[in-house]
Amino acid sequence: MTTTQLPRRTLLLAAASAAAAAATTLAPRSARAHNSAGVVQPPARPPAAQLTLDDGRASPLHDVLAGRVTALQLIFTRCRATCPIQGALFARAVHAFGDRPADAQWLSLSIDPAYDDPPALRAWLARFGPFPRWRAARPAPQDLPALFDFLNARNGGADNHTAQVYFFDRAGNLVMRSIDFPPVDIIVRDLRSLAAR
Amino acid sequence: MPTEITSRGRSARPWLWTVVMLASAQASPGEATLGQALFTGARPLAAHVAGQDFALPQDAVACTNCHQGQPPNVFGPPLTRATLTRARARRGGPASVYDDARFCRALRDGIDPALVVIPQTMPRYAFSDPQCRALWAFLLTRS
Repeated sequence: MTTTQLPRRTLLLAAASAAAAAATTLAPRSARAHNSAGVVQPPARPPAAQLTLDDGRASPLHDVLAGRVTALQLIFTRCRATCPIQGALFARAVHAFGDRPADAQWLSLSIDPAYDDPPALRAWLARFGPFPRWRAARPAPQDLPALFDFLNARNGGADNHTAQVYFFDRAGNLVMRSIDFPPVDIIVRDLRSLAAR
Repeated sequence: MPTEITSRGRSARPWLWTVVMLASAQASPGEATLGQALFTGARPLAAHVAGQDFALPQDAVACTNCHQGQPPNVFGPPLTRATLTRARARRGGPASVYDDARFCRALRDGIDPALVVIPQTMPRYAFSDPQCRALWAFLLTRS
């Protein structure tokens, strides 16, 4: 890191901290998720959010989702409790799902955008992979609270997020939330079912 | 299965409870060393997610992942002599404490002393009896 980058990173860290605070500590307890699982009817369009992917590319969330069926999980790479288990579940599910249909993808979305830069995201994926269709991304810090709200994904405790899987259709709309730590065969079944539509 | 000692029984026979706790606190140095290695993940642990049949990777199952650190940056409850052996009500139920048998049941089956299922976040561990006793012995040395 150069000295000229320091102020920018400092600003990013500050913005991310503010966003995380808004997304978590200020959230009313009633807004915290309690396994709001099941079909989302009608399908819900996520809020606009800018992502940075593990390969460093920037892309709107909608563009990442559009044209594919997606299984999405929330993680952060420094998480030691639930996230390693979520990663193991995803790895098992991705392996079981196989290569078809080709427009299915898997996405780990970080809730720690200040820390989870593309190298950290790549390291996260490398712990479980390689799986070419499993990507990782971080949202812009200011977009995180709206994403938390949309997914109803706040959770109490140090890890601060649910361990659910969120399914998006090819239009980029949320169509289903799983339970926490869903069984691998259920993840695979539901993504295949979504892909067959 | 050891005889259950209820909170009512403890209050009626505090001397018995003291004897039981002192007896359970006696651990060989080797046992506590093994327990520490299990706690930190230095010794491999076999574990799975409740309801699922595949082994979790080692970096997902170390006790220290969730039970070491200071609030609010620690995920699970602290595991010390005091927290494990002090009688208290869990989730609004009757007062209860862990002992070695109850501790092993919690690790293996995810059922706590108040017969409440532990959240799925905690893996279920395939501990042998000696491993389980060693981990229990080590935790009783922690304050």
